[in-house]
Amino acid sequence: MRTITVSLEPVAGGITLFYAFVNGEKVIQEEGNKKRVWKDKIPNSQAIIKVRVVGVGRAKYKLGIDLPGTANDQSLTFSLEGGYHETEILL
Amino acid sequence: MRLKYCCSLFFLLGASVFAQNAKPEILPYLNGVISIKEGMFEAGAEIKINSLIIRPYFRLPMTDKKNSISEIDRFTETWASVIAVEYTKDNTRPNGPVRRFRGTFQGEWGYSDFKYYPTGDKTEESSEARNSFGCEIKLVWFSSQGKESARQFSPQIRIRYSNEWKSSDEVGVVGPPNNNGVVYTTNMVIDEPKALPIFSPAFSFQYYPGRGNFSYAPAVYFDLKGKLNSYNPFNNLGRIRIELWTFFYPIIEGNPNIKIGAAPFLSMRAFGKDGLRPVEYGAQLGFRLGTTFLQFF
Repeated sequence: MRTITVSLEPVAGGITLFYAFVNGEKVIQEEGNKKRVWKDKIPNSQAIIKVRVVGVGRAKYKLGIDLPGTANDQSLTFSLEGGYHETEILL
Repeated sequence: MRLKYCCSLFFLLGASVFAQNAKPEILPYLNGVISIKEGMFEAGAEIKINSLIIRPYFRLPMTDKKNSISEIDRFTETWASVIAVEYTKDNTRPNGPVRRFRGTFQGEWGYSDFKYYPTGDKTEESSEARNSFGCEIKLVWFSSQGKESARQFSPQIRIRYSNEWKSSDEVGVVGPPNNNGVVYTTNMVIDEPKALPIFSPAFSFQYYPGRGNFSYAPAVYFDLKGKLNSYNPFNNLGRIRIELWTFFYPIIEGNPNIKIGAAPFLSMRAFGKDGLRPVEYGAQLGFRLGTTFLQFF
C-alpha cells in the first residue's frame, strides 16, 4: 500500500463543484469555493485518477497529486471550457 | 424606458457587500467556523459525518460595522445560538451527468434582556427578558450534462420563519428646565420591546447557459408579517418581491469565486398596509467573495 494525496483548488473565476475519483471510487465531491484535499492509502498496483470540475466559463483550477516515489508534489493548472473540464491520470 | 423611470431606478439602487469566512481544521471531522456576514459575526464548529454536516455556532450583531467589531456586554441587544444540519446527496459518477441535492435545516434561539424607561426617568428602569427564535429550510438541486458548454440548472427553495424581539426606538424625552432655565432632551427607550413574526418562503432558479462568464437567477419572495407580539405571521402584511439577478464571475488569478450581481426588483403589496407604496421598484447590487454558482440564499 502507498499513501496518495489529491487536492483540487480554485485559482480564478467561478468554480462550482469539484469531483475526484480514484479507481472509480468518488473521493472528493465538494463545492469549489476552497481547496479540497483527500489523502488515503491505495494498492501498489496501477491507479487511475479522474477529475471532473464544473464551473463558469474559462475558470481555472489547480490539481495537485502527491504519490511518494511516483509523483512527488505534482501540480497542474487547468482551464475550464464552457464551464466544464475533466482529466484522467494514470499512475 | 422613459427617463424618469431610469432616474427612479438610479436613486433606488441599493448595494450589499458580503464578507469572507474561515474554517480552521481542529480535528479530521471537526472544523472551526468563523465568518462575518451581513453585519453579523458568527463563530462555532462544523462536524462532518459522511453526507451529513452539523454546525453549532453563535451569531452576534456587529456593534460597529465599519470596523467589524462585535462586542458582548449588557447592551448587546440580540445574540443567537444556531444549529444547522446539512444533508448532501450526490449522484455524480466518473462519467455522465452531474446531479446533486443539498438540504439544510437551521434552528436559531436567542435570549435577550431589554431595558427601557416607561416614565421617561432614567432612575425608573424596567427590564424584560425575551426569547427570540427562528427556523429555516433550504433545498438546493443542481443538474448538468457534465460536458463542455452544457447548460447548468439549480432550482432552490428557502422557507424561513422567525419571531425576533427587538428594542423599541429611542425617543427624545424633554427634561425639566435647569437652574438657568434651559430645557434639554435625553434620548431613551420608553416603550417595551416588540416581536415581529415573519414567514418568508422564496424560490430561485439559477441558470448558466454553458458559455460566457454570466449566470442568471430569477427569484421570487413572499414576505408575510404578522401583528406585533404575536406568533401568527399571516394576519398583517404580505408583499411579493421579484428579483431578476445577473451574476458576473471575473477571472482574476489568485482571487477565485468572486461573484458580482445586479438585479432589478419589483415589490408588490398583496394584502395589509405598510409605509411603502403598493408597488415599489428599483435595483440591487451584490458582491460576494468565496462563493459559488450554487450559493444564492
